[in-house]
Amino acid sequence: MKYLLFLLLISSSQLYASDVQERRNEIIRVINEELSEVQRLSSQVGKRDPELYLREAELNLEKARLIAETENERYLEIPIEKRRKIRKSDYFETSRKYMSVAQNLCQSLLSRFKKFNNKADVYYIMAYNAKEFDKDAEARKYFALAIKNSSTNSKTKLKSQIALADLYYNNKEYKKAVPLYEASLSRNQDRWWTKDAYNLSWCYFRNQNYSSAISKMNEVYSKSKNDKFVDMSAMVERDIGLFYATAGRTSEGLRFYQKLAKNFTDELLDVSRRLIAESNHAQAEKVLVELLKIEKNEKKRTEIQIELLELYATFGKIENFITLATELTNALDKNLLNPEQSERLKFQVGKQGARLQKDVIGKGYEKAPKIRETKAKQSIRLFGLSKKIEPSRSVEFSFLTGETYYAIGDYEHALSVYKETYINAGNTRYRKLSLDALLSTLGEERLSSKTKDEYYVFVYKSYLEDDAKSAKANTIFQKLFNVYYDLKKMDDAENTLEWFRRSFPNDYKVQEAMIAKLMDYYRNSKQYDKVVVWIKKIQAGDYKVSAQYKEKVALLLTNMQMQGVQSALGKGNKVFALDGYLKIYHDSKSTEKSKKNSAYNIAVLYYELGNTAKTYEWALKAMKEMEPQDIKQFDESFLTLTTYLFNVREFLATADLSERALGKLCRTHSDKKDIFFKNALFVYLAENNLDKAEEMLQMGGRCNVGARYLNEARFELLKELAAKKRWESYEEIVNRLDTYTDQKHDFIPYYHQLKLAYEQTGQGDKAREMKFRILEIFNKAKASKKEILLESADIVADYLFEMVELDVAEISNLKLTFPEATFNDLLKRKIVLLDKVTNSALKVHQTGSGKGIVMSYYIIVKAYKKLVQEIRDFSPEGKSAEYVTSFKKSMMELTDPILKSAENYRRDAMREVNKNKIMAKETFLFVSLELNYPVTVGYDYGNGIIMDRGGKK
Amino acid sequence: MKYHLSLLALLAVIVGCSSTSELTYVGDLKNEDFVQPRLIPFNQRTDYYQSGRSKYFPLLIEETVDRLDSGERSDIEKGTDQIGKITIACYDKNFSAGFALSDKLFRNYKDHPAYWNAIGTCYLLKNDFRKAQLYYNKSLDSMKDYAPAFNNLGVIYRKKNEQQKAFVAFERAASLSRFSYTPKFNMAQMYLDHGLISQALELLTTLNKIAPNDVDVIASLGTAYLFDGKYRAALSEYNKLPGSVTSRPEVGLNYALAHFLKGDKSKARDVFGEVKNNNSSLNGYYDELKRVLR
Repeated sequence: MKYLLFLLLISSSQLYASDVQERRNEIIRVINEELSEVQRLSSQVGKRDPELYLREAELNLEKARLIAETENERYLEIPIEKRRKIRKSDYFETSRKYMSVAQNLCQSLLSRFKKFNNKADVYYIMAYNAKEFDKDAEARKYFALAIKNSSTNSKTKLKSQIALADLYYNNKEYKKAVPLYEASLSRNQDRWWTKDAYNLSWCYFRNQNYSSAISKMNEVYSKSKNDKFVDMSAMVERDIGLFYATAGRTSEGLRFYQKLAKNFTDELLDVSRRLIAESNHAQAEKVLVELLKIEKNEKKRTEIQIELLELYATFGKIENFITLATELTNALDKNLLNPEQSERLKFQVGKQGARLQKDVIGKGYEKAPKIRETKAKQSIRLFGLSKKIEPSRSVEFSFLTGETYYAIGDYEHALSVYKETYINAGNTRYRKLSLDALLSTLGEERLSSKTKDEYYVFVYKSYLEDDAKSAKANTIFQKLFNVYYDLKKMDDAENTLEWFRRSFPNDYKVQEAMIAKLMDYYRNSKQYDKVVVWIKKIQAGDYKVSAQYKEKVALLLTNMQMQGVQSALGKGNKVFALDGYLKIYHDSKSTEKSKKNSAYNIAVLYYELGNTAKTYEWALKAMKEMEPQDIKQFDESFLTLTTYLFNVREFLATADLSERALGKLCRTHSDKKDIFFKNALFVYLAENNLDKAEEMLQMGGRCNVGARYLNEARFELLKELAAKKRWESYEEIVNRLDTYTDQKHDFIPYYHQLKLAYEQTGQGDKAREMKFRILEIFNKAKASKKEILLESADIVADYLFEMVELDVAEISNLKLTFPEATFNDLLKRKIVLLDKVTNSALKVHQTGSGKGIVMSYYIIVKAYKKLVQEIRDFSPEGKSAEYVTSFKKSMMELTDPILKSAENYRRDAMREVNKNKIMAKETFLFVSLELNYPVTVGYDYGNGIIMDRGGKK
Repeated sequence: MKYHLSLLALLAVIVGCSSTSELTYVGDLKNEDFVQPRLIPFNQRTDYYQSGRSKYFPLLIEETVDRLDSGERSDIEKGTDQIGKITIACYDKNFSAGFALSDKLFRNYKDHPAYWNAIGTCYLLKNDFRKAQLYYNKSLDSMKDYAPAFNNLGVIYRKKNEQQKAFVAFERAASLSRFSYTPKFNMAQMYLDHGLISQALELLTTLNKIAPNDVDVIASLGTAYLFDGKYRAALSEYNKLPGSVTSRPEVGLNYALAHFLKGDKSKARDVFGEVKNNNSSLNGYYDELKRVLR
């Protein structure tokens, strides 16, 4: 039966369909017939009957409508995808043709028959055509004209009003639609009344005239029960809930649906969904909000809330969204959400949170900080909810929260959240991310120091616990160290340094910097024991530092040790200073430099005390321990100390210290070397320590002591060696004298001394050799007009006198005797020799020797006088008295000139002596000679009176 | 870097001393001990011996201890002339006492030229010429034109037979201290020694006018006259001298010769008989005169 029914139904439908089309065709046929008739009639009257025009137009319009229905059906049969690609109007060509005919007929009618009474109909047709052609503006115009030109209750008017109202309605011009609907519906209650009234109630609703809307909707609902009217009840049931909800008359709505045994919430949910689909968010929200007010069932409420949540998400009402999401999250905790709802909640909360964060991070709101901040806070709240909704992603959301805080510059909160994230991150990637984020945040300048201080240690330590070897870790170590330093947590700072050292054992620059800071701190806070500890560590190599720093540290300790004592010294506490220096020196912990400096200062203090023994003792210690550069630095002081020791007649100490000073300064450019050398050597000479003096001379040569000082020292040493008859040493030095200087003529006294030594020791050949050498040197110097020592001149003069003495002796050896011829001959020879003696003696003057000059004159005068005396004393034997008398007389005459010459030479001698202030004992010989006393006078009043005082002035 | 260190705290730490105020090494030393004693300044106007008047040596008595008698030396030893005490000790060959005193006086007199001159003299009297020279030079470091130091260097040079240098030194001393007599006297002696009799006479005559009773001057003047051939004038001077002076060979031998030249052999013998033959450099003269007076 069913099958049959179905077939029948199918058949019926087909029949219906075919029926409908047949009907249409039939109608069209009828229309065509009428149309033909009307055309004929119109032609008969010469087309002067407007009614016929109208009728023709109406028929064409009707025909067009019917054809359009068929066309429409055909159009709808085309698949949608194909339909999209085709031009719709192509499928409505026939109907449009007839509409155009109708349109033309109307226009022609209006233009030809201006006074036609049924213009309203004409306008109606034209309006309808326009509507069909989707020319809404034209359609409105003509409908308005149709309304205007039709009588009050005319069908045309009513139809035009509805049609125009529909146009307004469809165009959402509800205010314009309302009066038209009202006007028409109040006069006409055809079957379409319910449909039109339904539209009207929507117009009321859109105009927020909820009361009228509900009332009209109820009227529609009521009338829909009547077969006379189109049944709009389903649509009323669908929509009235919205009306009630929007009007705030939810309880009425509830009763309405209850009567229908329908669930209000479900209905309104549908309504809201529909509204949402229509993008009518405000209305949808209102419905849902109203629902929430009355719905008590939790599950239902949840359903409503989910819808509302999504609505808020779509709507962008974030605050409402967050509030609702919070409620839903709590509901989730109570397992009030089904899986689908949980997912939707999770999705929406996550999505909104992410979207808001994206807005915050993006550039869109850079210039709207307040909005940005609001969004940030909202996203943070949502992340908080996400954490509850998806606990498995809690760390992720925590991190995102931190990021959001960071993005808006709320670094304090960012830090807090990052820290929490880090702590909870476990082994996830967020551990590193959050740590990096913490580090980055701490670098923000705007962050308060107080806040930074709270986090630095945690962050840096956390970082280093994961990574203590990378380049970044190196930087972190330094930062951690500095944090502890600033917080004055030195133990922690030290531990950090130690940790750093283990991680970067070769990074001495950083180690050095850290140590320097620690040391600075300890120094400034007077924790010297710790300073010392660190210095010892450095010196022991426990920490790698640069050589320069190591030295600086050693100097620091030295300075520290010394500073206090020097401070006391500066204040005049010399006792304390001395004691302090002594303590430093004796302390095994003191540095070498401290000890050296202390020893030196002790020496100086004892010097000030006038304690000779201690001065020497400590100066010696200092000297032994100090490096050359130290001695050089204090050479003036050491010179003072050695001078003091000399002053108090500590000769050996003076010499010893001076010698050591020279030894230390040997390779330096100190200008005190010469003085130390001279002091040492001369004091050794004064102490008769010739061995040491010789050693000093050699040392002086090695140490580049000035040539002048060396030569002076050599000469003094030679004097002593000669006095002590140490001829080997003397000879060695003398033979090398010309290697030291080219002023050989200055060495003549020393060569002479050596010559004498050779003579005394039976080395005649060597003595002669030396003598020739001396004469050679002297003559060369004289020829070069060099300045010659008086002593040298005296020596050479003596050499020359040796020859003269020989000649003088020869004169004496010639004994006068007779006969006369022999006498004359001998006399002649004596006079020739005397002349020779005179010339030789006078040549000695050329030596420049004062003594030589005097001696030469003396020899001459003596020789002359002696000859005169010899001649005058000679008395020829065997001769008569007269002969003898005559002989003697002639001899007197002969010798007078000789005597006179002698006197002249004597005067010359004295003149020379007085002119040149010649101090020669030989002058006394003249005195004796002149006096002619029976004895050779002598005089020795000593070597002079020692003068102790200057005498009364 | 400035270190504001408390000495006490530092010492406590650095040197490990249990008590920060305890002086460990310096005993009962006081800061006052470091105070340098007042330096005695040199005053040229008081640089002479104020012992009084000498009968025999009025010329040099203010300039040299060598011409003070025991009483005058004793006065100095008892007096306040510290430097004089040093010199007297050394003249008495009590060198250790002299040096001990000089060490004691060092801090007060270290800038005093007479002080250093005295130490030099001590060494000179010890025949330690080098040290003497060092300290005379030290005296000149204190005062570059201190005449006594130059004079005494001259004495050293004479002892070393460096006659020319000696004369220059005496001459320098004389020029620096025009009213001092020792350098002039020493110059006069050098003139006599070196046969410059007229120069000696001129100088000695001047000195004689200043101190006509000075036996050194009288003796020297007599010798000068003798060497100038004026034995009567020489005799006139020698006759003024006390026996203690004429018994010295450098005076007595010439005195005896003067008598001999005058013709008074007897007197010559008397004088000669009193002469002590204790100057080896005059042994030849002594023997020769002895033969002549026989």
